[in-house]
Amino acid sequence: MRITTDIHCLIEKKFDSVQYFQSGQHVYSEGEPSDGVYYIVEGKIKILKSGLNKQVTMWFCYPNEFIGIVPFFLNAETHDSTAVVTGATAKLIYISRKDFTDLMISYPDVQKEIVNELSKKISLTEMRITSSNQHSLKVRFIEAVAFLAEQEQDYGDQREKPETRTQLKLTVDNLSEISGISRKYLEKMLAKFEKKDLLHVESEDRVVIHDLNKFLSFK
Amino acid sequence: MNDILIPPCEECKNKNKLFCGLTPDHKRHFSKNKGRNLFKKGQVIYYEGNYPNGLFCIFQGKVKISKIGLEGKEQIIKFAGAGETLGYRALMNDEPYNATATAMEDCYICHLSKNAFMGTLETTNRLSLNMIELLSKDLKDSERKLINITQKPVRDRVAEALLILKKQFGFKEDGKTLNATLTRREIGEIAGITTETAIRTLSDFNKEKVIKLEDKQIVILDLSKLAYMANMDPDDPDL
Repeated sequence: MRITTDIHCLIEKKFDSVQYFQSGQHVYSEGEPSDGVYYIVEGKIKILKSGLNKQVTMWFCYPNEFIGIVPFFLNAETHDSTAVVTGATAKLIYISRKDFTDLMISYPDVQKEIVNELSKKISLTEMRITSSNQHSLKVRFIEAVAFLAEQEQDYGDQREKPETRTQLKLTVDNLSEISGISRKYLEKMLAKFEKKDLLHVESEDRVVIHDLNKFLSFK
Repeated sequence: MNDILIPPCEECKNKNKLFCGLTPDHKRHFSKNKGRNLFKKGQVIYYEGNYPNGLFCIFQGKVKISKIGLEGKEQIIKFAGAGETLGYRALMNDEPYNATATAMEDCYICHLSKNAFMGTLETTNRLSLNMIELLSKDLKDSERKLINITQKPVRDRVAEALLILKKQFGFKEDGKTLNATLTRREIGEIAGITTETAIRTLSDFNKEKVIKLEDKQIVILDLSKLAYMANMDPDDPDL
């Protein structure tokens, strides 16, 4: 969610319930009571949902985003997903249901941002449904990159990019989780794309797409 | 289409989650700013890629929302029926529709102007919060669908497709025939499988006496078994 600087400052000032979570730590787990939402100040959070036999990565959430809002709006008593810190330590602010309601009513911009963010997530999920269902593994892989690029566009490493290049840095795990392609097959695919000089696998934690637009055009 | 007997919004008996809790004045305002349309079976209500200039609200009839994949194959995203609104995501975000809406039968649909809706939204917290609730539900549904498509085997997906139809459209008066007529291709498009696989799987269900195929009608003979096959709880309120 792209909360404006004013509202970000307001949230930091108004709510003092700051909590720190280490990498790998759960912020909340699926089925646990949901009595409020979290606002991400720093760090990256992975949202997982239970499937039949394994958990599925749904989203990566970044600073200025609220997490845990779906149970809030559906008036559910428990979380419908698990939130895990990925990467460095995360700094989050806990906001109770009542305070979050007051915040939204007092600041309609918060509502607008929530609408935008939910809409975007629905569109991306629908894209993944169509992709999983109908497209070849190559296209699914490219669409997974597009999905991660869309999610990360305003954050972290992307700010380092030179104006003329649209670089994207990813991990093999993230790509595998989002595309639903096994790591083994994905590694073969990465090697093929690397031969074509479309990306560079620096390490498991760092796949660099040199030119995102050119890469996406391979679909 | 002045001869269609669609009542003003303030008198409409359909349950509409988006307009729930709005005052009669709001609804009167919407009534003054809406058009009433008949869409014949198969007619497209809006196309993926076009920009919205208002909000559609179904008074009567069934609509399918679908996306076209890279190779032109259709994927049904969801269905909508009386009292449901269409095209709100594109309208809210001022972006093109990301799917196509098609009438599955003759449909009576109101079209509320963009200005009337957005103007009310700006000043009405209730409407804005209803919208967020609707989007939250949509997100939850689409996430569930994604998990199913990526993890469930074909039989489970077909069973779930039938349960989705039951949830969306209910049964006919006999209490067991699905109140929607769909082709095998469309059932395949919901489950994300080919038409041939849909035909084969439905035929298997028919042999196993879980369902009974009567021309284009599907009779659910054993709902609990169907729910079990779909790996779903038959008492799930979402079913």
